[in-house]
Formats: sequence, structure tokens, C-alpha cells
Amino acid sequence: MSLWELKKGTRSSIVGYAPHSSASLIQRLTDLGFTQDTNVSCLKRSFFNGPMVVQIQDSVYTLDKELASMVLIES
Amino acid sequence: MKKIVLVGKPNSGKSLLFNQLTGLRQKVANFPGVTVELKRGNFEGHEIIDFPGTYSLEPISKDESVAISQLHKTLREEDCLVLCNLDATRLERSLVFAMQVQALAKQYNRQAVYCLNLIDEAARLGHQYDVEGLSEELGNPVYAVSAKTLIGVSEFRVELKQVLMSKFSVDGDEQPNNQSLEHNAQSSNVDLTASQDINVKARFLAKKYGIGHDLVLKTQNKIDNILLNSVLGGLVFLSVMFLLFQSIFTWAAPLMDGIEAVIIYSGEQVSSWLPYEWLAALVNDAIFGGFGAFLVFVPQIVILTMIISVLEESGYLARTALICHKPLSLFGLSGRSFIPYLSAHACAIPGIYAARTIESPRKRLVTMLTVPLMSCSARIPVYSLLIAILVPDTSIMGGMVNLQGFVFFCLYFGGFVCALFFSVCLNKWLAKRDEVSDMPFVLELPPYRLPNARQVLMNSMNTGVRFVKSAGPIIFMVSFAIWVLAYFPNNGELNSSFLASIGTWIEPVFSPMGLDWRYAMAILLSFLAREVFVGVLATIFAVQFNGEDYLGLATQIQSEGLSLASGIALLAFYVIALQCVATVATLKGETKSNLYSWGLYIAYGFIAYLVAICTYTLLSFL
Repeated sequence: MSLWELKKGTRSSIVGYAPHSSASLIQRLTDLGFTQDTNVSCLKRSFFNGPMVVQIQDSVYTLDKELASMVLIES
Repeated sequence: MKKIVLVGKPNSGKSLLFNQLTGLRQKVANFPGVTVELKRGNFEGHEIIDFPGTYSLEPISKDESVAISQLHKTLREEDCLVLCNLDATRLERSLVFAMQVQALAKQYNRQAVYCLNLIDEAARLGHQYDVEGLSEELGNPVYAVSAKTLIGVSEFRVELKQVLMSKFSVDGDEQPNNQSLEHNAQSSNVDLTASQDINVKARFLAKKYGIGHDLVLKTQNKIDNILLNSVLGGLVFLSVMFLLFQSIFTWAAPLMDGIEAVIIYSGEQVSSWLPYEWLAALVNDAIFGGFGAFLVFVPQIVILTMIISVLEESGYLARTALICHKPLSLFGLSGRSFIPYLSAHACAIPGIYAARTIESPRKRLVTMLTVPLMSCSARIPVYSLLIAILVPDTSIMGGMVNLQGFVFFCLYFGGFVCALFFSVCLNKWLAKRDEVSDMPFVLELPPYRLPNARQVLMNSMNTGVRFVKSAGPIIFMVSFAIWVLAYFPNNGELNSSFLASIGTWIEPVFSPMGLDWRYAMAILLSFLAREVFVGVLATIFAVQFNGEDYLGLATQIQSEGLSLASGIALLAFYVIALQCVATVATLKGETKSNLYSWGLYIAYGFIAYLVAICTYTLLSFL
């Protein structure tokens, strides 16, 4: 499943990226720490499909639906 | 002398380190051809170049490419040392960046040293860093400092000076990991395996030397639970917005009055010594008046920048971008468009500069192009006058809301609504033009920190100075030119001046709005600078106008009769029209395009004209 589907307060680990994802966006996410086997937890979700807030190791990021849907996590 | 290239991620205390190393001896300059700022300063005779904070050394957009290639160019051509700033509270991410920098420095045979900044915050969390161990693992010296509390800074300065003086040669026996890193650094393609190697090593080192994640994020997440909460967070957000507006109007007012008073007084004093009447008028009205025309905005800009700076340094600004993102993205904007829009209520120029932080080139452009629709301070004199003429000073809703104040608010809100509407249109239009790409939204929520007073003051002063330097001369020349047209050829007789001739000639353009040559003149001139509208009308109606006493002029005009339809058409016109040459110049500077600057000027003027005529025609039938 994708990161966008991660419920608030739950944790999972990243397994890869959705096929046909843009290489440059994957690069940017990798630089930010969204790498394979990294633990990610969802801190907050917003109304009306607004950006979600996640914790990756020691950093907190907010990302929109488009990006979060690209990141695949363990279900 | 060897130069220092300072790099680091955003929110890592890099600016503060730069300030500590250079003192006040720094200069902000623009990259040629793009909107990225480069600060240069002096450290003990060595030039230190502060590169803009980036999350990565791999560019994914055109803007980033320019900044990164400038970095490569500097490393390639200049004899320099790379100083990489790391965040002690975010060791894993910092180390990833550090190793990318290491590879880059090796590529060009430059020495790299690391500064582990924010060590005071690590200490507050009870953590003591093993700097020697970390240096050994990285293969490059690491210095622990706190640019904020000055821990380790003087020792670092001494060491840095020594490193700069010593000769650097490529180390013969390299550690095994570095081989693969170096090889991968040579290739210019996006290389994920290299990234993975770096990530793995960074994770290992962070676990060994760094602070536990949950400990580092405990306070931040606790505060975010409140500030990102729908109810409480919403209340805080609205309070902050209210505060910003208060600052623009209430707090800046005494300073603005003060500046105005000083200028009026000085003008009168100086001109009273002058022998000729025309010379006295020139100095008093044109020169002092000209200076006054732009200096009076400086307090608002400085105070607004101060508050926004505090919000940014504290970390709250990122949260506002998150809160605003969904609503604004419905109109093709980014959450980060919030601050430019807010700043633009003081003056569009800082608002346009603030749009630089928007990640998507297309959203950035749309934001910059719609920022002038926000009702800036220069519109206030026009609004105030027209409201005084058209709107009775009564209260509605059972005495709770002042009608004039309410109309004022409607005008402001109208500007915002127009901006949203034009954003949608511009997005559709730009989507067809491939050159301006879009990018999805990702933002780090940095830790909450107490803002550094010195940094805030420096930012505010810089913004004020930048405004005076760039917009000042333009506004001054415009005021001067207007004065010349109004004064000659009949020594101050406005009704027979060049200006009057022009006004009469273009009168037919404005008669569909029910306005005569006098208004035509005032409107035409206000295309150079809005606030001129009131001054010109005052002169035409031969009313002595010094400061904000609109009542005298309003009464004059009312007794003559300005129809409600014309008045509202005028208001609609001023909400939309881009009447500020200084703003156009700023847009030209940022976009490097005539279409997006002068084109916008003409487009908004034309649209405003059409809207005004429609408004007048419609209202005349009622």
C-alpha cells in the first residue's frame, strides 16, 4: 500500500516506490530520507485530502497526496 | 587568499554561523540571471561565500540547477575550503548531506571541514557528542559549535584560520567506503545506489553518535499537537494573522506619521531659505515630497518583516504553509503563497521577494503575478478618500460594525478573491506553456526554536534597505516627473499645466465611467504610483492636503457631486489595476521577462478598466 493510506498514529516501513514515478521526485524523497527499510510513522492527517505529516527517523515532513502516493510501504 | 564555501541544509543554523564568522561585514548579492541569493562576507581576510540552504546536492528543478552549477563552478575555479554546517539535533540527515558534500569536495580536490552546529540544543537534551570519534569515521575534521550561544566558536575560528593557512593535498590512503563514493560522484546521472550507501552509513553513524529520535522530536511533536489541531491550531493561526494586520496598520502608524512630519517640516524649512518661488516649490514639493513618497512605507515593511522573521525563525511559518496548503492549492497556489500574500498587504515588493521560497516554479510565478492584487498601503489613501465621499459614517448590525470599516474590509477581501480567480486563470494558461513546471508539495517541519534577535533585526533592516535602494529611486523619479508636469508651464497653475492638457485630451477614455478630465488626470498619474491620485485631486480642487485629512477634500468633492456608480467603479478600478512602476520593476527583476512584468501592468490596467465600466453601467441602471 502507499504512504498516503497510512493511518494516523501507525507505523510501517518503506519498501519502494510506485512504478512510473518520476526519477527526480524519487531522488528528492531519497535525499530527504524516504529510503528502503526505513521506519515511517504518520503523525497527522488533514481534512479534505490535505497534506499528511510523517516522521522519518529524526525528521518530520509534510507531503501532499501526490507525493505520498508514490511511496510504497509494508501493509 | 583561500576562500571559504559555506554549505548546509535549511534550518540548521547556517545563517547564524555565517553571521558569527563575518560579523556585520557581509553583502547580499544576486546570482546573475536567477533569483537565488548569495551572501558574501569576510572572515579574517578570507572571503566566505554562503550558498543558499539546500536539502540535496542533486538538483531537480531549473532553479536548483543554477545554484548547484554555481557551486560546482566555484569549487572548480576558486581555491577554496568547503565548510559544511551540520545540525547536531538531526545527525542522520546531516550526515547524509555531509557525505554528499565530502564526495563533491573530493571531486574537485578541495578540503572539507564540518561544523556540528546547535550543540547547545544537544546539550539541553543531555547529549554529549564524541567529536573525535565522528571526525575519524568521516575522515574529515568535525568541530562542535553553537553559533547561537557562542560555545566553541572562538576555538573554531582559530582552528579554521589554521586550516585555511595550511596546504591541502589529496590523502594517499583512503578509507575503503570513499572509493565507491568518489567513483559515483563522477557520474552526473541520478545514482540511487550511491544514495543508498550514504544513507546506510549515515544511519549507522547516527545511531552510534547521535541523539535518540523520539527524544529529539518530543517537544516539537507535543507543540504540533496543539498548533496543527483543527480547533486550537485554527485559533492560533487566526490570531497570528490578526497580529500581522495590526502591525501593518496600528503599530507602524506612529512611525509613519513621524517620518511624514519630519519630511514636511524639513521641506518647509529648507525651501523657506531659497530665493526663487519655483525653486522653493521644486525642493519642497518635488524633492522632499518625492522622498516622502517612498520613505513613509519603510516602517510598515520593516515591522512586517520583523514579525514574519520571528515566525520563520521559530519554525511556525512552516506550519502555516501546511495549514494553508489545501485551501490555496484549490486555486493553483502553494501553502507557501500565504506569506507573500500577507506581506503584500504592506507592499507588493517584499511580497514578491517572499515568493522565492515556493518550491514549484509555476506556483511561484502565479503567486508573484497575483501578489499585486493584494491591497497594499498605497491603496489606503485612495480607499479612504472614496469611502469618505461615498459611504456614510454610520454603523450597521445594531451598532456593532462601522459601515466605513466594513467597506474597507470588503475591498481588501475583494483583492484577495480577485487574486484567487486570476490564479486559477493563470494556472490554466501556464499549464499550456511547458516552460514553467509544477512540483508537488513537501516541506520539512523544523524544530521549534527561540528566534535569534540579531538575525531578525538583520533580516528586517536588509529588507528595508533593499526596498529603499530598489524601489526608492523609481518612486522618487516618478514623483518628480509628476510635479514637473503639474507645475509647468504656468508656475504652479494646475488648471493650465501640461498635466491638465493631457487630462483633457484623455477625458473621453474615462467618460464611460462618468468621470471628467480631473479624475482622468488623477487616474492616469496614479498609474505611476497609486497614492498620487489623492494628491492630484486635492491640488485640482485647490484643497490644501497635508497628511491624512480626507474630510476636507471629500466634502469638496461631495458638494460637487460624485455619483455612487462612478465612485464604486473607481473603487473596483483601484482594487485591480497594477499601478506601481516599482512593482513592475521588481517583477521584471525576478522573472527576467517583459511579458510577466510590463505585460501584467497592461493586462491588469485593461481588466480594471473593463470591470469599472461594467460596474458603472450596471449601477447606473439601478
